[in-house]
Amino acid sequence: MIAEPAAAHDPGSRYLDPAIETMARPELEALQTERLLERLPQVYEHSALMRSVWQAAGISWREITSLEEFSKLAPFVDKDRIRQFRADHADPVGGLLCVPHAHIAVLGSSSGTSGDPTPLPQQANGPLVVGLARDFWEAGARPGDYVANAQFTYRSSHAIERFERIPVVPIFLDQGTEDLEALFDASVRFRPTVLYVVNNLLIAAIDDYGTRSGRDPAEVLASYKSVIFGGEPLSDRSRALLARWGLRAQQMTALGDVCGAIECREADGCHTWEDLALVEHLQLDSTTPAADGERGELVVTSLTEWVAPLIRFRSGDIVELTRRPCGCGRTHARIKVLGRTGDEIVIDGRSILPRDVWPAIEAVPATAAGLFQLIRRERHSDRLRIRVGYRGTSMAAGLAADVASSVEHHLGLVPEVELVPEAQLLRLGPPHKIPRVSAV
Amino acid sequence: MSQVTAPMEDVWSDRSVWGVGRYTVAGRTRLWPSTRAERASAAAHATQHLGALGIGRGDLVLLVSRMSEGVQAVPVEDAVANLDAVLCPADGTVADSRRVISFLRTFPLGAVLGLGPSTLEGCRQLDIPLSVFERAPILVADHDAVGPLRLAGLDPFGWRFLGPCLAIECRSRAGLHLDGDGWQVTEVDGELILRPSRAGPGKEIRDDGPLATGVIGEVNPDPCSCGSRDPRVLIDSGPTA
Repeated sequence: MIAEPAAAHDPGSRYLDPAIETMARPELEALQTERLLERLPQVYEHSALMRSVWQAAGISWREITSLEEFSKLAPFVDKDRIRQFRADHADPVGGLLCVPHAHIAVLGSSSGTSGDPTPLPQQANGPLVVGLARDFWEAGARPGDYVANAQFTYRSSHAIERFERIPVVPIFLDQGTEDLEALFDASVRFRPTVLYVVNNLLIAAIDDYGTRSGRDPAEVLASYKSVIFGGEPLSDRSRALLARWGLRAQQMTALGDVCGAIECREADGCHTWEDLALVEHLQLDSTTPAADGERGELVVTSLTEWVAPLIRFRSGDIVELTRRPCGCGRTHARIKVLGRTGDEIVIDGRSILPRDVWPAIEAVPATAAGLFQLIRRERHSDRLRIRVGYRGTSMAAGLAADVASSVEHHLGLVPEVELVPEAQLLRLGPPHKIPRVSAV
Repeated sequence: MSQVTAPMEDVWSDRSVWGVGRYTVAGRTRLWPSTRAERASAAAHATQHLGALGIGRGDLVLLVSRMSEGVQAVPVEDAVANLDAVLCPADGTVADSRRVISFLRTFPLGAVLGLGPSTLEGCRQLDIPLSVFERAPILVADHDAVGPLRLAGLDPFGWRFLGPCLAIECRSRAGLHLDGDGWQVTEVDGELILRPSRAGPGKEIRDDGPLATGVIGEVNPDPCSCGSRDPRVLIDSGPTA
């Protein structure tokens, strides 16, 4: 639908929704309680999955009257539980849907990195739209600005409302390397303020295109106040390139399929929006809350989603979470994503995640794109095994030894290295979304 | 370096730009800032023609598109919403064919729109026969994918991007209709040439002169038996070299 003019925001303010973004913790928890208690009966009545999970746990929504009781009593769901419900009941939405199909605005889907894409029904102006507009604002977008919009894939609609909310003007681009000329041309012609969203491969491609075309990225991209980076960890090489071009990166991640979370300019963790989602983090393999700032699994509950809300969704993301107020003045929890619970390999009691290996792989020029997989047959292993994609058509002599040496230098572990052409790994998905762990 | 911004009072005007899209002619990418009035007009056109093909309330509509196609695809998203149907997006790349097939096998789709050669190539790589698209009661495919789908025994309607606008085949199957309120179309030396009907955002933002599409075809001036008064084009072949 074509949007109506929104209320004007103060372009001089650091916040799009100042009252919400800087809300004191007691008020924020009161708002969360109100929204949670409003959501629970609706979900219990209409979501077949949630009702079955709660009934199996012997819990009724009526027993929950506070955040503390929710934390103590409410059962969890995870992706496997949703997939199982899909299979058992031939319900493609996994028993999550709380409204008739006709009330869904967009039936999006997950990336499908770890299996078939999971359908994600969305409402109009849902949490994804509301949260991202705040993030764009923090990144420096102001009414009337252009924003280069180069998302990974077209799987959640163009969600034009997120731009209309400020409003800014999106420049529609593909994220692939084939659209670099358009990105450069649009950047010079419209002087956009935010580039949303890039990954390591695209940053390397911008550098390469700049060299080949004789157009200096530092000049072409000078108008950007911020570059949103997502889908994988920002590599040291990418960070250095962005710094050379005078660009500031703000990293983004997903908040358990509920909405996104993006760093502010303080770059000290991705900001969640706790008015939109109740955010918890639990000790790994446990239901005990992890301490502030410690490593734990991210658990998310939708507070404003009414089409297919997730309640106590164990995301499988390993994060460090803190609720200490940020230097930017915002009060909502911040997270640093470290990896996925299913990605962890334990070698001699030591936890290894793909992001631990990343710097070692990209330090070798022929594997600088960082395309690799950890071979994980079981969580505990006697050896680190890595499949690494190399650039070009033929493998350089001694490359496996170079990669092994780099890994040993960075991690102190001597790995087994299997080399494959980059193209073989790229067949598994877009560069930022290839499965980072393989059982075979 | 100064930013390009619009004064706030102009941001919501009919002539203000809501999005910048692109299209390719003869291997060169052209950027196209589109106005709010043009989006509304394109959405009304898509609503009329997709509704006439049978898309209606509650239908699940799989739209295969790319992020770079926003100026052409957002009016289709608007149309799906106007028809009270449900949008199911999938990327028009070889790699995302899995998503298209997953949707097709999982949901009772009412229509598949924008199916293109890349998705067909993805199906080939996955060893999935094109007959899988029989599951979609309404199939609207990119002009370049219509031939292979017909060879597979299907009978899709065609659609085609002409520069920044979208032309859609009607049930008469006698050409593709483009948005007659938004565009004037002529034929020059066999190439379809467009010109926006409305005032654009201003010459400092966009050149509103004749717009080459790179598409070889002809304009059919005869009234269409479907009843639409939107101009109709017959496309002879792919883009010019």
